[in-house]
Amino acid sequence: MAEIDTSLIPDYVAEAAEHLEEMESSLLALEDDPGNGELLANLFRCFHTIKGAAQFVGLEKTSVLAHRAEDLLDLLREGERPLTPGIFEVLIQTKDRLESLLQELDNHQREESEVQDLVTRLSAFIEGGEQGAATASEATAETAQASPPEAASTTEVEETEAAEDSPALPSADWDKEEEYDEELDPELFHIFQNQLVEELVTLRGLFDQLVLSETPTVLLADAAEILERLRSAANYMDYESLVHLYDQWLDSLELEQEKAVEGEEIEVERLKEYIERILERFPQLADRMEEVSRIREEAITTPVPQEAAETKPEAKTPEPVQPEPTPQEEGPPPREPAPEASAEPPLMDAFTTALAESLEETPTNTADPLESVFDEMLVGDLEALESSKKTTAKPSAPSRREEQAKGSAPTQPAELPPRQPTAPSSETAKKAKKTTGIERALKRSVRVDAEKIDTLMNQVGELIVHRSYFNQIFNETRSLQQRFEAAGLPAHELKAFRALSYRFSEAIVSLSRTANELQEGVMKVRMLPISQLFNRYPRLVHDLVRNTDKRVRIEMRGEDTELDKMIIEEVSDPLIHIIRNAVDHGFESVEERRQQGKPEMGTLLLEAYHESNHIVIEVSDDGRGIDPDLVRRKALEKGLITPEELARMQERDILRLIMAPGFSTAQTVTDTSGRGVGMDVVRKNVEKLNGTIEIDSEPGKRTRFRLKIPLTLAIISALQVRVGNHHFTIPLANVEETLRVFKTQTTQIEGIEVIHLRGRTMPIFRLSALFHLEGQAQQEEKFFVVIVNTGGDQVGLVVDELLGQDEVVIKPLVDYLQEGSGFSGATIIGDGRISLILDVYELVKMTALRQARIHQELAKQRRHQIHANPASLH
Amino acid sequence: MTEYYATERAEQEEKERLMQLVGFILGGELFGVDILMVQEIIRSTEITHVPNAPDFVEGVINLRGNIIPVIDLRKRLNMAGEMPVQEKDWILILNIEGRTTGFIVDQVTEVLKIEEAEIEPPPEIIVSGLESQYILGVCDIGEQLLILLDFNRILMVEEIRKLKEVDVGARNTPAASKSVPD
Repeated sequence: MAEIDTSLIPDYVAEAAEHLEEMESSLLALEDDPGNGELLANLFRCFHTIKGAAQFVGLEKTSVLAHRAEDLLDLLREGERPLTPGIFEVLIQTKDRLESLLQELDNHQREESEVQDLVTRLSAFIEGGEQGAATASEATAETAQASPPEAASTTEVEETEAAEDSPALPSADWDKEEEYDEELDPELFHIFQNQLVEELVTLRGLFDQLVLSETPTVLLADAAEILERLRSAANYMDYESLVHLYDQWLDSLELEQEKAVEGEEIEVERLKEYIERILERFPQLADRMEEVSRIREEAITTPVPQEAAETKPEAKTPEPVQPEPTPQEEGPPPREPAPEASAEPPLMDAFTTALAESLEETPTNTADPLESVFDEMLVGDLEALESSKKTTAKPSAPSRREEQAKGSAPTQPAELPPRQPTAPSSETAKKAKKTTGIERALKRSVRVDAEKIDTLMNQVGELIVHRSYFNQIFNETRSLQQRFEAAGLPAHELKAFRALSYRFSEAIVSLSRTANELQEGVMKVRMLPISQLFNRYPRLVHDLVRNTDKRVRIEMRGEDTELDKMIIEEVSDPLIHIIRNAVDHGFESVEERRQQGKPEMGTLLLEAYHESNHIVIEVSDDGRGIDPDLVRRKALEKGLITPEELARMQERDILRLIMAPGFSTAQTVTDTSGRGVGMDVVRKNVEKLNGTIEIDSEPGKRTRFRLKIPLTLAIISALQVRVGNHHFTIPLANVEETLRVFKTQTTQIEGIEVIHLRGRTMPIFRLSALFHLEGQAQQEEKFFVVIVNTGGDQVGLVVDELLGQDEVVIKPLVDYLQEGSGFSGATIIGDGRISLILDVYELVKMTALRQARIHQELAKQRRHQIHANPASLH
Repeated sequence: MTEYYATERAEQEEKERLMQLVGFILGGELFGVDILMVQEIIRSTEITHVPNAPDFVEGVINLRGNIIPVIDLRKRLNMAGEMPVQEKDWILILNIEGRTTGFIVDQVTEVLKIEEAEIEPPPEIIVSGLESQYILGVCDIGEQLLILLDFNRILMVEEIRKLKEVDVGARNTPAASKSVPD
């Protein structure tokens, strides 16, 4: 049985429903415009996404079906197959099937409908185009003879597995004569057979009644209805000649109907002849028909005398057009023609069997198979259901009870009989539930185009800019007031001015409050609990440890912590990398852990919490930790660092080396990690989000990765600084602290200006120099230093003035200005001017480059000096 | 018969379709850009300098909340006689394949109407240092030669990127040659 991750189902359902909707509209549009490549591409994407999601959740049927459809669409998209009506039809059916699977999933947490028939047809189109499809579908004939009746019980996932594993190829030597066999999909064929038997018995009963009946037209109409159903089943199976036969049959039926209206005698034999003709095609069914007749006869001879008379409407009981499992009772073929054996509800048979089976297999859980039988029926012809609702409610209830009493009464659970009489109404209820399954998923969450929210967010951003503008005006008003005061304006005039200024500040406060709330509200719209992310990982861990000698359990804390949906998507990959690393390199084998006196089961802890405007995600493992010596050795081996540099590094920075490009400590390269790509990508991705990443580890005990990411990407808290007459914005996430430094406190080490801060030596860089601007700090004795960090590297940036902290709206720069410039975007400050936002990570990279340049120049100078004055050597 | 002539006349008109151009002056030469590309024309707005940007990118401006790059067209076209950007300069805001970009020009003249048929391919001779690869065509409008610029080419991002690399590279050499752990 497929392993379905039930916790993911609600999200999956909502997502898939959206794609199905899109699929439908694309399909419908495609019908009018078959050559539209964009629609095909869109459909391809939908199927692809559903497939991916289904695989993730563990939905085998959905993913197999969507995968096949995706393959076919790929061919259509590439123009290798024309979009024929046949293909179009099968795509529509595929979409419908996916929808029913989705509904089943929503209601029962499992997939029930079969997909093999569609998979086969899709495969046929993929392999052989239109021609091949016809071949394949008819090739469904050949081994029908050996049909085990018990195979068609309730639909269970595992039953199709074998078939799914080997998508059948269209049989090459298919001759024009249709053969009916179950080679391609035994189960589907079985369902078809069962329906056929049921309906044929019913029909025979109807025709037998016809001779004596006073209302032949009603009976004929019923027969026609059954035939329509059979015809569509045959059509569905792609049995063309059978469909043709049904057409003929329907024609003759119509003829007889006309005769009946005229009051003429009906040639019943002519109608019954068709039954024989069908049995010729399905010789294996003859015995089964007798069997069914016998069972029905037994049912009718129960003490419900009016049953036989009232069975006519029973023929309409929900007998789905879609092939569905209608289980059969096993028994010796009684050979009784049962002339009065009229239509007995197939529902009844299904019921008994399901009940019997449920009692055999899972004696404690009877409700489930019963329910599935109900639901199966509900998938079927709604019209039939309507009519059955009208007429069958009363008679069918006692008969069912009767049947149960016969079949399985001794062990029947007590709560079942009272259930029966209410069955029809609960059917209706379920039907309603079913049809609204997807709507429900949609109603729980309103799905809005992300673009709309972004627009709204932009507007909020504008509002915040306006707010800053108001603030600035207020400050100007205040200074004006102070000037008036200094100028000694009369008190009464000043008073009015003060009052105005006060009211102005009040107004700004309330504007600020509303703006803040609005901003928070809009941000919340984009927020999702991080459990959406965390829930993806237990399965990942499960898959990673499956073929290893490790045991790992995953623990989560703070799954309710919310963050921006966009960020969720962005941190997903980095977290996968970290978790893979932890499982592959972090955890020891069970044996090793035992020797070390650790619990055999390793623990991987995922934790999320808020820290001011940030979310912190921690991934900790209690594995072997990171050995700093190994990191040192590897870094030197790979030439990532020079021995001198290494000697100067602190423990913390050494650990950070694992995030250098090309670094890998793994002794062997495994499937999942160890190729030396990964951690540097993780760092880049996190830093792209203005986030930071920290590693700490205790060798032999644990490793912890700490990701600190801003809650949203659109608006950040930032420090405004001035350099010369330029304004810059530094994300507060990167700011460690700000200092006022005297020039005398700085020293030069190898041409780089450094300061000593709490025992650490920290390089400082003048933004004016980095950006080739004219700054004033150069000359001054005292200047401001903003200590920024990008995870572990800390540098000081020298600025002329700290202007204050503000919420800023990030606006992107055009790509050619943003790339490698040291800026991650720009923002508009209060007075409408533009302030560039520093990309601290990029800047540190640039400073490293600068550092290297200074190094080289110094080296050159030194060589030069030595060269010029060799005597100075001694 | 008259109908026949009517359609012929229509065809004739089609051939002589008028093109409306916004004319502007740059280093004494008259240029034109299709009016459909022009989003607006602004004057004297504060341009924020972007450090480490290509030389010809003058900076960015705030156009009603959107941040738009501004290119000094004269520098971009490597035209002789560079002049410092002045307050009185005009900025043509063009929409080039979805990218809104400002271009600094000396002066905007009037809307010119020319017939498409009159546009000739760019001449071999380069006008005041202007490279012919950026010229769509020229058109003689009497007393002057009108140059139609190929703005798509001017804003070809790949090219800008390459120019920028050269720029940054030049700024950092010779030191940049040594790889640095990052």
